Parts: sequence; structure tokens; C-alpha cells
Amino acid sequence: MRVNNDQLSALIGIAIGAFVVWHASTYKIGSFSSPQLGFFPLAAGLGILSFSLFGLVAASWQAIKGQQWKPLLKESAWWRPLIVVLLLLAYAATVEFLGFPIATWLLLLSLFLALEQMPLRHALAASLLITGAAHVLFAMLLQVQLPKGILGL
Amino acid sequence: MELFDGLIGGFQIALTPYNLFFVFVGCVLGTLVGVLPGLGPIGAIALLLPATIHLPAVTAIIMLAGIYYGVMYGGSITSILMNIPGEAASVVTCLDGHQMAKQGRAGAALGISAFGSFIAGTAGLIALTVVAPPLGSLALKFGPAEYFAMLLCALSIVSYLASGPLWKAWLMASLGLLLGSIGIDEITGSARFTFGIPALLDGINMVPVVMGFFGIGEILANLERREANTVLSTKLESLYPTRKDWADTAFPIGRGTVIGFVLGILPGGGAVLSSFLSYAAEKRISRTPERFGQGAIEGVAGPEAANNASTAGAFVPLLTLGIPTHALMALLMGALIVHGVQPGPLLLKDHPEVFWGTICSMYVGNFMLLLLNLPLIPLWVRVLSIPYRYMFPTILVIVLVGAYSLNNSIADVYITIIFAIVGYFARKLEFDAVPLLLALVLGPLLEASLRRALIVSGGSADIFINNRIALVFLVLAILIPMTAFLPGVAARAAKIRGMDSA
Repeated sequence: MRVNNDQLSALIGIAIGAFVVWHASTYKIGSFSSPQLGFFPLAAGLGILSFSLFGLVAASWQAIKGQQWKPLLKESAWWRPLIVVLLLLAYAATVEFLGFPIATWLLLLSLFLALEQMPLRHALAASLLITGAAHVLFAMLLQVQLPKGILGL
Repeated sequence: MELFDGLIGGFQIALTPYNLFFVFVGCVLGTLVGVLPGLGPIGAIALLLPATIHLPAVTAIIMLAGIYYGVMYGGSITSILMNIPGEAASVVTCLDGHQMAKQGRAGAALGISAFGSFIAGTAGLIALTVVAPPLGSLALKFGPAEYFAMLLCALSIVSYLASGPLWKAWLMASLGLLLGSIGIDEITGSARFTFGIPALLDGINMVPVVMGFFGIGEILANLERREANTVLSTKLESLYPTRKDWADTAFPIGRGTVIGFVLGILPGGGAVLSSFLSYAAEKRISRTPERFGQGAIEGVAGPEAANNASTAGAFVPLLTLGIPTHALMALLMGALIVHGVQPGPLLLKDHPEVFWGTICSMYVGNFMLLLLNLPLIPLWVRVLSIPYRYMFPTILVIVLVGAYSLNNSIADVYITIIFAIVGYFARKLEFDAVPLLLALVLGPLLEASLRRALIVSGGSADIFINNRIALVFLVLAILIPMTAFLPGVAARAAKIRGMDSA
């Protein structure tokens, strides 16, 4: 039997809640008169678990009444957010090594080429312009401490 | 006399050249970001919040208040010119504002929006000035039991009004409480839920979470949709309302001010509910309700006034009780805490310069917005014409710099990206992020109050039951969500939740 969206959400919530309750119980819970380290996280975990269980019952009732699975990614350009997230993760992994100017320029260039299919000249110009403006504004004017990287820029 | 002394002191702080500069910067930046479609006020403020981190506390909150007002005003511009609400509270402005623009009256719509917002904002601030100090004195008598009950009630009401089923809102709130407990426990000094990751010892900062959910999250959602937004190509004629416009909008502005201020004080009230209620009220009162939706100026004036007055109203519980009534206020509260200032009853006593400086800077900011934004409207129109393919990478860079600059730590950048991914799927599965955000901010206070109350009472629930104030709040916290099971009330609440997700 295929689950509907809310049933899936509730099952994920149950898994999270169960993990939180288990992990919180490894800390000292204390008592009502002397609540300790794990007291509040345990309560939060029980909350996640309870509301997810309630949600599962409600969603299952809706499933019986005919509510079906609604595709999450159908008719949407889901690859565009995926490309952005992958590029952001690559940026985070390399910015401290490469430095803010180089890493940011590469990020912007990749976004313009991969996502917007911009001609190379335009992509180069736009990415250099935005990177330069960001560097001047944040590093020079606002004195924000940004990673300098291997070239010390 | 104390009120007068406070105001004098507050204006002395707000009118220093240094603070005036940052009010100006806040108003301009806030309007600029508020004008950008696809970036709501929460994302806008989250984007600009890191810019205030290195400022003194008073200046930071002054700048943030300017940003808040600016964002609200910027949202009106996109509503009127592009029929795209810059934020949820501007949805009703689209109904009549854009119609006025199509009839060649964009200037009048923008002008009355600006003037109405200024008048309502000023009136709301006067009410805030009068109401806040005595309420703060009353709240000094609150103990941990009252505090816990009040915070729980605020969380309960905001979750009740969140979009989607109640179980989802409460699940998000519980998740937010858990996230707020990550890091070193204040009372025992031990780490919990850090899994050996040093970056988590300081806990999860609200700013990367908000920037991920609302900043990058909005961008990811917009990239999926890829709608072309066009600015209305209309000549902007006089921005100053005519005598007839003033005559038609005087009472709507007055009514909107009262509705907005009162609703702004209530948890879950806020700008969205006030603007919708004001619109509904004006339509009902009008002798020609059929004009609404076709370009009725009252349909712009009333909601915009309500919008701005609710801003002032929302500062009452924040500054005096330490209760943020909605997500934006939670952000501002988080910003204050980051600067080492705890909003609440002791704020007036321990940091009167922050309390009065904030209130007085809002007077200044309100006036500054009126002076600046009317002449700058052609500039904002040009900003709107920048293609989104250049806009969103710029916003991404600002978010990444903002996240990194919080603690000069790459961990905050990773947290931002992780919550962007979580926010993307949360949107897909129709989970509202607001309860999570509020719980993240309130969670540590809620836990501290609960633990203190239980220690004082020796674990007995009598401390809540025998305390009238705490009992009232606890009963409200339980009863209000239970009204969801009453058919008529459930339908109305669903309508309110639907407004907020518009």
C-alpha cells in the first residue's frame, strides 16, 4: 500500500522522535523536583513522537478517505535547486582553502553557466563584477573577516 | 515624568549622528531588500542581521527596527507595481493597489501607502510609549511559573495560527525546542546533543537557521518555479494624494491604526491578520463595497495603516515581557540576545538606553522612511527591473557572507545550507517553519523557567495551579488549540492560517 505525503512526514517524525527520546535518556534525566540535563530534550522528543503518532493516525484516516500520494518533484524544475545546493556545498568545502574572492567567483561562474546557460563572456563579466563588489563592500568597507585562502587575498 | 525623561533620553540616543546614520542605512537597506520579490521580510531581516552583529547593542536594534519598517514598506511597492506581495501582509494591498496602478494611479496608491503607514506608525508608537512602561513594571512581578506559562501560551497560539494541520505545527515547535537545547546546558555546564562536534557546543544560532529556511529556501523555491516577473510599465504621476484621497482615507487610516496596534500585541496577530481584518472592515463599512478589488483607495490605506501600527504593537510584548508574538519579532529578539540584551521586564530597568533608544529611533525611522522613500520610488522601480538571474546569485553571496561573518566559522555556513535543504523539503511536505523558529528562540527561556519553577516547587504542579496568572496562561495554551475541533472555529482558523501562507 502506498503512503500519502502526510503519512511519510509522520513516519519521519516518529523516527526522529524515537531517536531523540533514546539519546536524551542517555543523559541524566533527574526528576520533577530536580530536572537535569536530559529532562527538557526528553520532553521535546516525546512531543515530536506524540505529534507524529497523532499525525500518522490523521493521515491514515485521510488515506482511507482517498487522499493519495502527491508527487513532490513532478512538474517542477527540481534539478535547479539541486544544482544550487551542490554548488553551495562545494563552496563551503573550498572557501577557506581558496579564499573568498576565488571561491565566490567560481561559485557565481558555475551558477551562471550551469543554471542560466549564459554565454561565457557574460557569465565571466557578471561573476567578476558581483565578486568584486562583494569583496569591496564586505572585506574593505565593512571590514568583515573573510577567508583569505592560499593566495592571501 | 518618568515617561518624559525616558523619551528625552531616548531621543538623545536616537538623534546622535552615529545612530541617525544607521537608522538611514537600515531604512534604505530594508526597503531595498523588501522591494525584491521572492525574499520575504523574515529572509530580508535574516540577510541583514549579520551586518548588525559588530555594532553596539543599541545601534544594532535601531538599525534592525529601521530594516523592519523598510521591509514592510518595500513590500507595498512590489504589491502595487507588480501585483506580487513582497510579504504576506501586503497581499491585500495587491487587491486594490495594483488595480489603481493599472488605472494610472500608481502614484496615489504609493503615496497614500507611504503617508498612511507614517501616520499609523507614529500613532502606534505613541501608544507603545504609553503602554509599555507600566506593562513592564507589572511584568517585574512575574516569577518562573508565570514566565513558563506565558511563553508556552505564546508558542501555542502561534502554532495554532501556523499554516497546515495542527500536528505539523506542534511537531515543528517540538523540533524547535529540541534545536534550542543543543549545546552546553546553562545550569549544569554539560554538553548535550553535540555528538562530539565542537561547532555545536555553542548551540545552534538562530541566524543561520533563518537564513537557510527563509533566505536560501525562498531562492530554491523560486528557481523551481521560474516565473517571469514584469514591472508595470506605467508613468508614475504625482505621489502626493489629492484632497479627495485624504478625505476618502482619513477614517480608514484611523481604523486601521487601532486594529493593527491591538492585534499586533497578540501572539500570532501581527501584520498579516491586521491587514486582512482592516480590509474586511473597510469593505463592510463602505457604502460602495463593489469598488473594492477594482481600485478602491480605502482598500490600500486601511491595510497599510494596520500593517504599520501592528509593528509598533508587536514591540509591546517583546520589550516589556520578552515575548515575540510572531517570527519577525522572534528574529529581533534573537538579535537582542546575540548582543547580550535580554528583552523582558528587566530591560527598562537594566538597559533603559536600549528600551527608550529603540522606541525613539522608531519615531525617527518612520519619519525618515516617509522623507526618503517617496523620492526614491523611481529608484526602487529600477531595482525591480534587474533580472532575477543576476539577483539570486547576489543574494546567495550576501547570505553566505552573513552566515560566515557571525562567528568567522564555516560551520555556520554548513548549518545555513543544511537548513536550506530542510526548509526545501519542509515546504514540499507543507510544514510551516514559523513554529520552529519561535520555539528555537523561546526554547532556552522556556526550559530555564520550567526548571526553576519545578526546583522552587519541589516538583509540585501547585506552583502553576495556585498561581492565577500562570493558570490562566496554561489554560489558554491548552484550550485555544482544542478549539480546532469545533467546526465553525476550525474553519475560521484555517482561513487565517491560509492568509499567512499566501
